[in-house]
Amino acid sequence: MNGSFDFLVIGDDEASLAAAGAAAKTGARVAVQRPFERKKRSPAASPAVPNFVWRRLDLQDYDLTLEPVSARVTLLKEGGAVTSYASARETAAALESAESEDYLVWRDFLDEMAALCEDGYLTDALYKGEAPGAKRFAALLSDPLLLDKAARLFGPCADLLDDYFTDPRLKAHVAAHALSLAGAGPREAGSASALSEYIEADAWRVRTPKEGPSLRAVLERICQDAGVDFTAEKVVEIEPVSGKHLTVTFANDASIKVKHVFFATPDAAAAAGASGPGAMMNGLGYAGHAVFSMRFRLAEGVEPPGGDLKALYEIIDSAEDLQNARDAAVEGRLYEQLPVEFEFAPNGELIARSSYLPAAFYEDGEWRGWTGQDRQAAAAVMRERLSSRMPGFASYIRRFETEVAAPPAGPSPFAGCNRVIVQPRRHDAISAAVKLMDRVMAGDE
Amino acid sequence: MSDPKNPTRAKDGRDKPKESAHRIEGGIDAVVIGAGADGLAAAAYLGKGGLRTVLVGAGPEIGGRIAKREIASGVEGVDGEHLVTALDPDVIAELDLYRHGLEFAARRLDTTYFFEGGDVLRFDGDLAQAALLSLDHDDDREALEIFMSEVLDMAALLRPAFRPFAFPGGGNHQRVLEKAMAGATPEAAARLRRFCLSNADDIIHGRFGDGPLRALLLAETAFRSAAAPNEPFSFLSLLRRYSGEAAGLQGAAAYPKGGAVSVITALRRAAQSAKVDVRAATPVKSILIEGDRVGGVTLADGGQLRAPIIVAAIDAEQAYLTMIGAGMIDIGLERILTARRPEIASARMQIVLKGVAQDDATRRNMMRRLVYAPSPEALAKAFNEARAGRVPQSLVVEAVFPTALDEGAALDKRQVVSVMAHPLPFDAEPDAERREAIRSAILDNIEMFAAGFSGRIEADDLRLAADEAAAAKASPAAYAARPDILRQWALSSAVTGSGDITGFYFCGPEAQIGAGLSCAAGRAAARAALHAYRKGAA
Repeated sequence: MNGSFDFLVIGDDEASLAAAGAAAKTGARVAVQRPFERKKRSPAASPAVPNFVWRRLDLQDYDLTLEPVSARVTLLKEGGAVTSYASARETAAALESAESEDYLVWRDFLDEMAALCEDGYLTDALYKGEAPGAKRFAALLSDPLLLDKAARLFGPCADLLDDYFTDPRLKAHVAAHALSLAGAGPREAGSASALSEYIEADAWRVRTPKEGPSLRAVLERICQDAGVDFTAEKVVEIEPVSGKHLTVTFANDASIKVKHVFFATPDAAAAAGASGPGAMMNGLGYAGHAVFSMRFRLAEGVEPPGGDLKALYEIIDSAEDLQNARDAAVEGRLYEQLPVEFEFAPNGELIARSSYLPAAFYEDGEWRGWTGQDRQAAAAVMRERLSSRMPGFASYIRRFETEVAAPPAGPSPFAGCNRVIVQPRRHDAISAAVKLMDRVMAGDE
Repeated sequence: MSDPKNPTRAKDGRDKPKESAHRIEGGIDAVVIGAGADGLAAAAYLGKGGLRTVLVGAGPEIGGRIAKREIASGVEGVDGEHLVTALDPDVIAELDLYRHGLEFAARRLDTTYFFEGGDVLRFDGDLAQAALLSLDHDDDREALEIFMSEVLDMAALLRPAFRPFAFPGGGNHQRVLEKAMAGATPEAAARLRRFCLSNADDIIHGRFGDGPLRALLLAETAFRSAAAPNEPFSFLSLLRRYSGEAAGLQGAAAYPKGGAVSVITALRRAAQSAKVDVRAATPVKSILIEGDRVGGVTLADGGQLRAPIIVAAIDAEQAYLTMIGAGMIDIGLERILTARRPEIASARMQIVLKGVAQDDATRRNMMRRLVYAPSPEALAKAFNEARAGRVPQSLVVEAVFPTALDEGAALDKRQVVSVMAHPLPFDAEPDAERREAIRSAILDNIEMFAAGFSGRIEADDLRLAADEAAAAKASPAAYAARPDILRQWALSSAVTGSGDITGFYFCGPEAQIGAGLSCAAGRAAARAALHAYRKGAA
């Protein structure tokens, strides 16, 4: 691969491919670097494809069917599951039959969360990378109502939930699903922003049915049809040429000129070593953490509590677990009551992950990276957590593999480049990536 | 020393004067409630503006939480603040505080930083000046100079935003902010976005790697803030610190002659020369609301002071929920005040040391600001611990020696070291066990950089947020550490702007943005009141 491009998109998850395809379709020259080792595996649920992306990519021309995840379920330590659905009415009914006194305020909660995001000053600054102009910044500070909204939206998630709900189980449920993506703690400043985001329709995850191509496969075809170049070579160096270009050198000595390096998710950025200085990280800066995921090939007969194979599950003991796990991750240790998210893939595999793992371990006054033993320990904790909610789970395991996405130690090849754009972890990752890409293109003109 | 069991009783055992009972006093233009620094400043401004002003304080002494107190036999200490870092320069100039006796014993304290591994960094002046005396790497020195100049520029740009701003009729703050920000270059604006949203550790780690400068800057950022340096918006805390000015120098830490209490004395003189009627031991029971405006205040003894302007320089809970009443205020404001759950606080400790060498070198070493900066890992853990209600092992400790800095305070063969430690768990009612745990944690941390220190202690005096609140008759939450700046902006704007009662102005601790002795809130409240008064008169 040679030549000059508008964007080098690093990563080939759905959000990266959607952003690359959308940019290429408007005439931008785009290259995509996919992770250099890619295993063929069944897809996990992905964020929904919003209508505007569907139209931009002409997805109707492709043979694609998606079905929404049936429910969000939290398996607490005691008292069974808490469940919410895409439909507010259905959720309220489920809460009522579970004798939660908060069923009456569920709809108010959804409405107000949506309203909180309407005044987009901070959300724009956060997610679209807009610098606060004097006028808007002054307007924000001069309007008590707007400031109060901003403080609620970017305060601790626990405070916002306390405003609405009294049922601790419901609070734990909402916090678990909203925060698990970013591995944030409910008492942490800024964590409330995840709440307003996760209730959006585009944040509701979708599954690829057993028959038919996956969303990722379709998006890849769209990219190819739109003339996107793909490479699997590792990036070894990035150097600014002028204020407007970067030279990217790959492991096979090929080099290209690009205007921007684009990361649709912080995980892709972390894996490439781009977190840290120089990267134009949008969104709230949180201390680093690792995402640990496991895939289980299982014997027949495993069922989640309740039996719904199309739901998304969280395992936590209580809401405090989330903050404790977050504290442990920040301090560089493994937390025993790890919050775990899991789902069943269309082919019956169980995919489990947790964002509450430390990016590195802190022992005897030193930081060290992940070792094989740490992987084993994390895998043991995760199996333990799954067994605690599905008795006998361990005996069904036929095969499993683990994966750690932690920012690598050592100097970043991206250090000092201010044309590297990183989108934070978003519930509606596809929508967010396409919008951010549009904004960058608009800024170039 | 006032009787802790009965703090309303005056020093000499006199009871409160009784003659005002059930008396209605008129002919007053403004009543200021609260005799702390902001109350005094507000009253002085109102008096200077020609208003007949009465200042009423609940306690027997003027000064609120900043007061002289005997901390050991024959040794006086000063409660509240031990340094001045953010005293509003306009207040000093407009109220003529230098003429009223304010004097600085040290204008820009040199700072020595101590680190976990035993490293020491000495600054001639402070970070703002960045004249680093000892650092092995020239690269780091250069990086620090560039970094601090960016911080100072950005802090100066944001200065109007760090003053309380939402007062009704307080001039067009929006335009002031717009004007201040309009001068920013596009690069500065982009940097501002990053600085506003980011956590301090991201920014600092990116610039300084893992060296001692990282620990130092994180400690300065986290000091006295409830926002951990790995949380969003935390970098704003550092910008707030360096937007402050002491003794005419941006970002400096200064020591006033006689300690922080001399700022109170100067403010009191300024108030008195502006013909303010200052009344201590005159607690207010309620604020009279007539229709949509204030009518005056009812005193605890049944008397009434009638006035069209009331300035409340007390904590918001007392002002809005007790004196005005929850039924009279906006429901949003009530929610904000009742939902507050502070988690973190600082602690103050004054320690009398015996057997300290009297030579010049020792004395020179004591004429500095000493800061112990734990490792970033220990600091992150400390915030987690404090938030979970446990006393952390590692603390940021700031220490000064009033007896060395101020000749007037020198003691024979003894020294007083005044310490501020952070972060600690906030307790509304700390028990003896908690006090002892905090005391020993602070002493352990001092021992980390001053080995053998504990052997020289003659007496020590621990002061927690709850103690300060009790002394100032305030709600303890008002003296807890403040959350991130975004939430401080929101709280300040809510308490100063949405009372929606004509003639009522608030400048209690919740109005202030950032820690320290500032008076900016008192000034802004009084100016807003004067503005409205003149407009009404004209």
